[in-house]
Amino acid sequence: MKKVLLFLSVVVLAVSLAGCGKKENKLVIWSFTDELETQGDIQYFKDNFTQEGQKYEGMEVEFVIVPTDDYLSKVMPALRTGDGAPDVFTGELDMVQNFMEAGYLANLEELMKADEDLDFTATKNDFQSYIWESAVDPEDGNLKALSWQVTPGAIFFKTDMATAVWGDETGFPTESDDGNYNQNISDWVSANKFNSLDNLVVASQEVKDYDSSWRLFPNDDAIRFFSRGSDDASSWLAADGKISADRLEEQEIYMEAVKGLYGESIADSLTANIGEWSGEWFGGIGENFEDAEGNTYQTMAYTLPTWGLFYVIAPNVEKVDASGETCSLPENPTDQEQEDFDNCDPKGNWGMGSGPNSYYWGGTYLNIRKDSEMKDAAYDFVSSMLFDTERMTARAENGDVYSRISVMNEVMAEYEGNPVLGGMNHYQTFLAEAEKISFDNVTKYDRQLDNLFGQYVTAYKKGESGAETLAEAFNSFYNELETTYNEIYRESGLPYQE
Amino acid sequence: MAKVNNFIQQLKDKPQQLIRHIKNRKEKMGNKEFTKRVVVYMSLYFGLIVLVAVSMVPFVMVLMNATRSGQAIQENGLSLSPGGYFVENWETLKLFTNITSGFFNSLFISTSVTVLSAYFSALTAFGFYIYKFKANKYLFAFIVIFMMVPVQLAFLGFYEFMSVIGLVDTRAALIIPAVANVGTVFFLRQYAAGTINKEVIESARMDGANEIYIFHRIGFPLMMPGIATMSIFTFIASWNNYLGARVILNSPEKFTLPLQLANLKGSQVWYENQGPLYMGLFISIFPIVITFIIFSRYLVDSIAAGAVKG
Amino acid sequence: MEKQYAKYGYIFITPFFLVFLIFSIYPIFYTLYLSFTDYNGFVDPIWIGLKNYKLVFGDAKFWKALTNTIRIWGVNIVLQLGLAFILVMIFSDLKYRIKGLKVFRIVFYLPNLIAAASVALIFVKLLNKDYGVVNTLLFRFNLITKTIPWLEKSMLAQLSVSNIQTWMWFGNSFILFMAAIQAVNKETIESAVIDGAGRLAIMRHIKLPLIKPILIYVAITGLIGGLQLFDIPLLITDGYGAPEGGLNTVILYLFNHAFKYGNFGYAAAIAYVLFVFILLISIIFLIIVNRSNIKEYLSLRRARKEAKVNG
Repeated sequence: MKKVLLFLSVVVLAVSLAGCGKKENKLVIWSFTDELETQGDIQYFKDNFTQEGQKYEGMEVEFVIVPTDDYLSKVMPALRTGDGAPDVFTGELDMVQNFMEAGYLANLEELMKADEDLDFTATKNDFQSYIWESAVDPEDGNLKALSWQVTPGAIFFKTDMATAVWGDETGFPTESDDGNYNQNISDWVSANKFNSLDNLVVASQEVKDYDSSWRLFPNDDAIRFFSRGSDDASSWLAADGKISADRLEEQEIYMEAVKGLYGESIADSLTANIGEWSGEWFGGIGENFEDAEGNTYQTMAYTLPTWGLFYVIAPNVEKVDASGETCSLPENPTDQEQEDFDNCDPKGNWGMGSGPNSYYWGGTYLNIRKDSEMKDAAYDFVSSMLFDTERMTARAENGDVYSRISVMNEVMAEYEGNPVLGGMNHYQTFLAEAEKISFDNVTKYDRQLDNLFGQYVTAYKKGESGAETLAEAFNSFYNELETTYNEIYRESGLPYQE
Repeated sequence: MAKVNNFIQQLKDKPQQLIRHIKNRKEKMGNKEFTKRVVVYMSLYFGLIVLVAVSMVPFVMVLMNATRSGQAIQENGLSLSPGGYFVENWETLKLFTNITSGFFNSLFISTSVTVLSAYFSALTAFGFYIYKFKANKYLFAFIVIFMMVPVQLAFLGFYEFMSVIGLVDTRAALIIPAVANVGTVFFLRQYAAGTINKEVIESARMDGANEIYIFHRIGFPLMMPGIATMSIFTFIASWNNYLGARVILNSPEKFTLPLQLANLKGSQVWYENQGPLYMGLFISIFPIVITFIIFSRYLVDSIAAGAVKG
Repeated sequence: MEKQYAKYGYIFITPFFLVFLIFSIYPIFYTLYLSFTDYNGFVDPIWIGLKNYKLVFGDAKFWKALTNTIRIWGVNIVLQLGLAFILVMIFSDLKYRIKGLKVFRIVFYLPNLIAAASVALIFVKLLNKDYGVVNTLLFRFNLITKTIPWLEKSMLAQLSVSNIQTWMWFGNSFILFMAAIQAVNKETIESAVIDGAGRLAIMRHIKLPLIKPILIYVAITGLIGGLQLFDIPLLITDGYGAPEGGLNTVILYLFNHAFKYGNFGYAAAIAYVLFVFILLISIIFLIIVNRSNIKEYLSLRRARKEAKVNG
């Protein structure tokens, strides 16, 4: 027994220690999604750079996916020590800003300027300006990262429900066959119903008044991206680097809007109280869904960005067969049933409008590690995704909205319309939204402050103790702010501050 | 053939034997006592079966969802009836993850961890329980106290330190710490107090046995049910260890099963089709149940069996 | 006699301590160091002395989190140990022999095999107020007329989590107790039965004292695990411990400070304040459990002193 155990231990130690090979001639890429793989970017690099006779002949490419929840905890220590760290890694905007501040990123601007095949100024002008601005390091004014995509958001809604509720109002578009009907409705709804937080609450009430089982939004989270209320809202931080009183005052409108929508039971609520990403939430995209009491509800609108249209809305919308009947798929379909279902077309009853303010959600940036030993290869990889406009145009059909203006112009010119949106051109709306996004008032605290403040918005809407009035809610928030972000806390001059 | 016949005959006799046996008991203890016993047995088993049902829920759900389509799971997450997507889910899962490699990496690491932890924890616990040395109490208190420090932030420094001693991206960094499994040492030290009779050790010494021999031939076997119990828990913890493996391992070829399955979570398929995910979960639970059954042999089955041994 | 063997004690525990020092001490002291700094996870830590600790003591949300944690843990530990005890009594009974321990043992442990993330996912679907399976069933059988907010009212949510925790861990306690109870001598119990001792008396006077060391282990590790509860509350709430902050546990609060607000220094300070709290509770617990031993020890010492004085 003893000898066996001893032997085992020695073997274990030997085998496990033997595992430490040094990486040589290997380009390591880390990401929190599988986009780079599914879009074929990794394969493209392998095929065009690492084959026999090519620039990096024999180079290995290692792609590692770390899910979003663990991504930072994985990347951070690796970047700090440099041990086992990736050469190229992706990140969402707030991560990129942290990477920049810590000084982990290579100077992309310098690398671009050194690239003889690249016209720097022309390239810069061809990028959607918010993408470029967002990745400029405030420290030295240099560009440190870039994204190939833009991810502006919209409010997607069912046009048939909108017509039923608001069809009699003045100016509501009448039916037309020119393929612009959904666009016209979207424009009207954007201008008259979705244009301010107050109007969103009014619209929610109108939908519910029309039919007590109808709701505008699945839940009040749907308006969280509109907390700023308009495109010229203040920044979270004032000029002196402390929290802004103006911004907090603007938040009052948002808090009242959320409280206006909220009701403890669905019957009292102007929304359907469905959790985001739950089965019912997805179900509502199709037709309707049932609550615990057996009541059936329908929702009209979902707040989602570019990728939401392709990955969330499109796969779940109501489909109809040639005769206009709704198609449905049983839980365990036969091959025939599956085929019939696949042959159905989207009903085309969705429109997309813009909310009170423009917003973006998600968006993947490419970063090169400052101390990478594979910087040339890393740059070539990034370059193949960002600067090869021909390649971008060619694969644009997968639906992504690119950050290159020339690419999108070309794509839009040839686009025949989105069947889910009844032939509407979603690129147009998305790009219009993208142009409205400005980085003048963005700070690195935005996501955290939105989260922190959001907790008190929730407490206020429910009337919880410590947040029964606006004054209480604000002061509870100030207390937490003082411990959490002491460096931006302001002693006096904030709304309701005691 | 005769054997088979015999067996069948026995099977036939069994119900009658049972009835006879019950009748016997009934006569022996009288009607009242008999009724009481039946009622008690029935209510005990009823209670236990309810508990079994409640405990089985997630397991059955995972199993059922592993056979259902993503669409069906999305629309109705909880179902106790199977679907027809078992093979399809398995195919999709294989597309996104390297299950085989993950399985063997996990198996290697978890087995090594379990063996090291079992042996060295027993050794340490034995050392603490049997020998009276000066620092004994202080060192034992020291490790128990260290167990109380929340470890959620520990990995911050851990990676840096592993980098210093060159263990980043090695399996060793996940296996060697098993030698110092504080929880198991604590348990076995407590367990030894109930099972190892110091007089037995004393008499072995009289017979000229040395200490190492005593540990291997007396201490270890006496602690075996405790060691087996802890080994089950150690194996499960190591098998499910996600964060530790995540922090240390960088190369996909070393990824354990939980890391391989996490690939799915980083993929678009996560939003569209959860069937393969449950299939992955099912595959990761299965070996644990097997381990459980294997180690159960060393656990003591009933109080009576234990008494004989003790 | 004892002394000549003492060196084996050191030899036996040396491998453990070598590995322990290398792998466990450094991260723990690193966390301690962080608690005296301002550190956002990216830019190097800045030493700020005791400021984080001062903030923790004045932080109402921290204290609320601590009370929440104690409440959730308190209900859970009573239910969990109670259930495990009842099962132990059933399976160790000499009169009523319950068959199938091997199978029951595995089945009761099943809830613990599923990762917390999946457990949370399942319970969110079960307990959702407006769309959950539990309310749907209760409604269908006309047992309620108004949906029950299982996870949406502070008290009820805490109770729900206590029960989820119990469900996850009772099998673990049960197995540990069963491993310990085998040391109880069958004959001792039989003779006690003959002397007319009832089941509770046997439990209290024979079984309990014998499994006391294991009970201490289960209680201390239960305390540590319970007060460090966070994955279930993280996953079944909005991630911040709503409703009404009732499921905001200490470690969840710590976790959010570290990984959502980038306040690693403050999070580390919370970790150490919680550590001291757990240590204090453990010491109080050990004093209560060992009070007879302590009394004995004290009186012995007094007697010795008196003897000395008199002598």
